[in-house]
Amino acid sequence: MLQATGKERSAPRHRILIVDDEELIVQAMRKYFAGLGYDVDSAFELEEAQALLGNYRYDLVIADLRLTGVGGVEGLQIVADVRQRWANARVILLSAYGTPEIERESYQRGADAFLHKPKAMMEIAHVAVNLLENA
Amino acid sequence: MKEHSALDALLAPGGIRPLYQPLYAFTNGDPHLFAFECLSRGPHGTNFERAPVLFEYVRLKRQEALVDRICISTALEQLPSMARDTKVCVNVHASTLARDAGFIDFLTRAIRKAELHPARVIVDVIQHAPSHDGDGFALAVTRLRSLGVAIALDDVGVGASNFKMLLDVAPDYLKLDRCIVDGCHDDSKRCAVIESLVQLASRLHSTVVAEGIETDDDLVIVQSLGVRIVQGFLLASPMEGRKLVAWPSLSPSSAA
Repeated sequence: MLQATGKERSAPRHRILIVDDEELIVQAMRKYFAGLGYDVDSAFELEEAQALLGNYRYDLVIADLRLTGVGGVEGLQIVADVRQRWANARVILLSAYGTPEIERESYQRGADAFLHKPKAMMEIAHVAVNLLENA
Repeated sequence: MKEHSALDALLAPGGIRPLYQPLYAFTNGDPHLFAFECLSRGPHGTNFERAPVLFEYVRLKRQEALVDRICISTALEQLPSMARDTKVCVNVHASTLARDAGFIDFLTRAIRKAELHPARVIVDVIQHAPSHDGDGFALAVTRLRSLGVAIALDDVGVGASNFKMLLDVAPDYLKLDRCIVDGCHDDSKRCAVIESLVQLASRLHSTVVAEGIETDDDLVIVQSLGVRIVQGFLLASPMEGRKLVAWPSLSPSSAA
């Protein structure tokens, strides 16, 4: 687990939404971020994420680009949905299939970070914590 | 990837769990059990335990009609016996009424199977988006009237439950959304809205139901403003059918 610095320990209870169709990844990320002191929700598909976004405010959304198999780019829709609701929320997109074009589009839609899979949990957490601390 | 979508889990037997929440009517200050509203929740341990998330998801999946049917049939199948003057509220999306041509026949069968007289049933219409099929909706409302059930308009005061819906549905009950009711005891603007809706309902020969009553102060205020039927955690939480059997018919304060 990420070494908790004083700064991380003092982090307020931000609310994080994790969206990925891989159950094991979701479980691992939930456990990891909950361990860092965050309130964590998760969703496995686009509409489940959208239903949560429609009812709760999240400080950070970490979403996989592809949620429905080959060719999917649902993560881009999640970025747009978050941006439409909250200017200050942070969004990280993860992808094992990110092309430069997709990455560019992610930033155009308002993503704060685009991370290429595979990525160690600690690296994702560093990006997440930095985004939240500097929000 | 997950092998099955959340929708599969919801549609599977047992995927929707029925809960029942009492509504109380006050006569001369004394409460008596008026109705049970049939509510639905998704599987334990999922996001769909939270009703707003469940139904937002269902709407995004455009499965309102199918899920409405499952919620109603599940709730009525598990409905325990109760006093014969207690009413039963079931929820249905306006879009289901507008687009599901077989819904009224389904509802008729479900009510008959549950051995309920239609006069004891209140169909609570939920409107989350403007209906694009006005003719289908109007026909369904007419058929509900012919069936003999009462009609309530849910979430009045927010979203798409607007004045046009009042005109289109001519509901027997107006259910004021909790966001209007909650905190009314120290908010003159909320009181003004509630009072005006009570007056409007009276002119429309409708009855106001206040949802979301969570404090004694709010209860006292809504009663003073003319609301006679109330629902909320102060009086009773949603409960499973097995707890309903022993539920007191008179006073919420005597509940366990």
